Amino acid sequence: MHPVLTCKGLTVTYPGGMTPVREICFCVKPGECFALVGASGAGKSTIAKALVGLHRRGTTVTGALRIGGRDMIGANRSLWQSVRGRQVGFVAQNPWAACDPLRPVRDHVAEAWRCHGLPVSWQTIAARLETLGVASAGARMGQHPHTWSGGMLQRASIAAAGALVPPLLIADEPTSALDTDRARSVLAALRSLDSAVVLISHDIELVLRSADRVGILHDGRLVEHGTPRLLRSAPKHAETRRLLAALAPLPPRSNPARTKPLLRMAKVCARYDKGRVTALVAADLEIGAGQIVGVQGPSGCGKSTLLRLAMGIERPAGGTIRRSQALRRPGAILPVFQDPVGSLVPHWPIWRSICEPLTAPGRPRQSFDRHREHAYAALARVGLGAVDPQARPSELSVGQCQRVALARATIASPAMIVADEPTSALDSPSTWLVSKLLRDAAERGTAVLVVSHDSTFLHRLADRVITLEAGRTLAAAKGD
Amino acid sequence: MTARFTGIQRGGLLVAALLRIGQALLTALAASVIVWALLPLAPGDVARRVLLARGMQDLTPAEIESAREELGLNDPLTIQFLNWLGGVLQGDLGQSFTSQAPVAREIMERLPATVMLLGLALAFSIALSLVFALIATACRDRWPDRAIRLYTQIGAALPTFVFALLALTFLVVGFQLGRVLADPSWSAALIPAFIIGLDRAASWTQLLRAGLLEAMASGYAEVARARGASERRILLRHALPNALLPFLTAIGVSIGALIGGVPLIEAIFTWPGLGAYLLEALSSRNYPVIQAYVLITALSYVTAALLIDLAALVLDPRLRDRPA
Repeated sequence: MHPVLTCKGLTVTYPGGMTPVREICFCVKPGECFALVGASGAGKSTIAKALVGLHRRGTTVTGALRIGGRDMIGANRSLWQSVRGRQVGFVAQNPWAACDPLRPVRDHVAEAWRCHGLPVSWQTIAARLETLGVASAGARMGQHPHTWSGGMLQRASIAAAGALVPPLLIADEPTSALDTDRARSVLAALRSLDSAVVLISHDIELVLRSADRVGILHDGRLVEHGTPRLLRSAPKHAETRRLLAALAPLPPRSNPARTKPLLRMAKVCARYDKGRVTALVAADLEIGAGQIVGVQGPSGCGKSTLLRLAMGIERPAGGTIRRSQALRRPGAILPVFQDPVGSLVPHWPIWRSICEPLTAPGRPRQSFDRHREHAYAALARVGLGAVDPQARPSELSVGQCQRVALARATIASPAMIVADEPTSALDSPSTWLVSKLLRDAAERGTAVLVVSHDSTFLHRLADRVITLEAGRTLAAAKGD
Repeated sequence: MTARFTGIQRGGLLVAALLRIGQALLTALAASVIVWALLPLAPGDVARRVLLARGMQDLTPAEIESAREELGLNDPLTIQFLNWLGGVLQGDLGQSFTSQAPVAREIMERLPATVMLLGLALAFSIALSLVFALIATACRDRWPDRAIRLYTQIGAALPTFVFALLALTFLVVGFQLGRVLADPSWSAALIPAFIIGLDRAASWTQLLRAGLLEAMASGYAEVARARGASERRILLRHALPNALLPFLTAIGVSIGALIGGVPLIEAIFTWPGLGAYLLEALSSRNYPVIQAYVLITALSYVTAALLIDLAALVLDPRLRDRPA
């Protein structure tokens, strides 16, 4: 059979002369799922854009690119318009951003037909949505995108991408905005169409589980490709081995002695907007020294509110919060944020950010030189001994910045670390490293409270995982 | 903090609209308090001014005192305000200090001409900015876009009256178009309205163009492109409605400036509207007239803002889920 997509020596050059993608060669057979995986900055999204002709103006694409038997290098706008939707469909990362917020969901799907001048009935759209797992689609598709959940809306986007039954779908991180369970079912929906899929992802675990063949991207080059089994058993390239290392189990936990709880929250509720918006209805949480507790749940379930209450930044509208004496001194609770780069002072050398907790009130004053020595040691502990402590955050990668943030959070041995989605901006290897560093902190006696929508990450890391659903904590599930 | 699951009052369109109308009424009330305060705060004794305006000379203190009693100036301020507000609601805006005629009647004689000019100007400016912004976005960085950007910068930098004077010199006097000494007819209103519209449209075009470009680079535009939609379809069906919301808000905000700029334009084109009447009242410190004009300006501003917010509620479903 002829491949539905052929790339030979595909090279993308930006107007400034930078080439983020060089000499990519692969082809995709009908119906197969080919995954491109790599760290952030490896060129994944650039390839996705080039495959649907949506690169920025002034960008040049050279080499050979054949979609459905047509040569698309140097194709003009009208050729691309006729190919898009009919020969190649596209699923974007964030389903809410992919929908026009002013139009109901059904218009978003119908547009796939209408923009090619084809008529479509609401029944057809409802039927397509139902087969992809959207229950009572006929009644719900008249609602607007912001009222839909991410998983359901992503199904609608898949329905739109597959509307004209293109032989090829390009999916750029289609599940990274979703939690693990939803990611699996959305991916299954994507595969349920008969089209071949180019799946672009930073999540090696997801890719090895669901793709037929996997290509490893590194610095804009396709360094290795093969079946998941082959890559797992005999990885050739160093980058493949680095990505696979993210699948290794974390070091075992030394059994944490049952300690007195540091923090105990019972039936806590929280309201915003003068009581009009209820963020938490009844949440329970208990955490002791050296314990790791994970909090999972869909967006908007009150996870971040729970964290703010635990940190004492906000007061609850009801319920009780008991803090032990150790949590009451300044600097006892240190946060780790979702956006690592934004959480560091941009014009400070990183050693100064790292040492900031040492300047908390009540601590002995130390010279800058002493601080710098502490920072060197802390950097070495998070595996960044080779990084210049004078560097500014902008000179580091996102994963490195998060490790710097962890060095900052642990340098003063706080009683508790509170981490809000610490890995959502990171690729698999960095996620693994951050998990290990949080484990290390817990082994040294710090309580760790982590919020994440990634339940695989949480279950691997935490001693206990609490699920928040609609502002209530469900029964705690035991981790591994 | 997003909390979709509970607690959000989903009153829908009606509740949100009623809340917004209530807010507008409160704003109008607050504005009327400030407008009324112009008179008690004005320098000089109001009773004396009224008597002087009636042509009485050599006032005795007794005459002034009886006038104070007659005008209700000895009542507590709250009673004075309520009396004034009651009068305003019945269409009584007081008496002109200079002509002795009811201000309401004098204003009603001149208001239609100004409304005609303003309405036409508003229509021109909205139409011009829509057309210019759409052309500029569709031809981004090509010569039509550059020409329109040049116009918007000149228009935003120059005050309206410079446009008006240029138009007067070249169009009206030079080419014998229109009449300088105009009577209030639609055809005579065309040129001054076009001038006001051209000036207003400059900044509105800038704003709408920026909004359209942002929408054209958004995720939904990118996805529509990936579905095979043409640029024109994305521009008109997706970018325009999304960019219209901030554009409408900007129109609402600058309606006050539009009304405030009218006297000058009217003076240049000798348009028989409220402008000349207001300028005369300003120079003779005819407070009841100034008060009435400010009240009309404030109320039109509040009404325009209300209409625009209601339009936004209809356009954007996201605004309906939370009470404003």
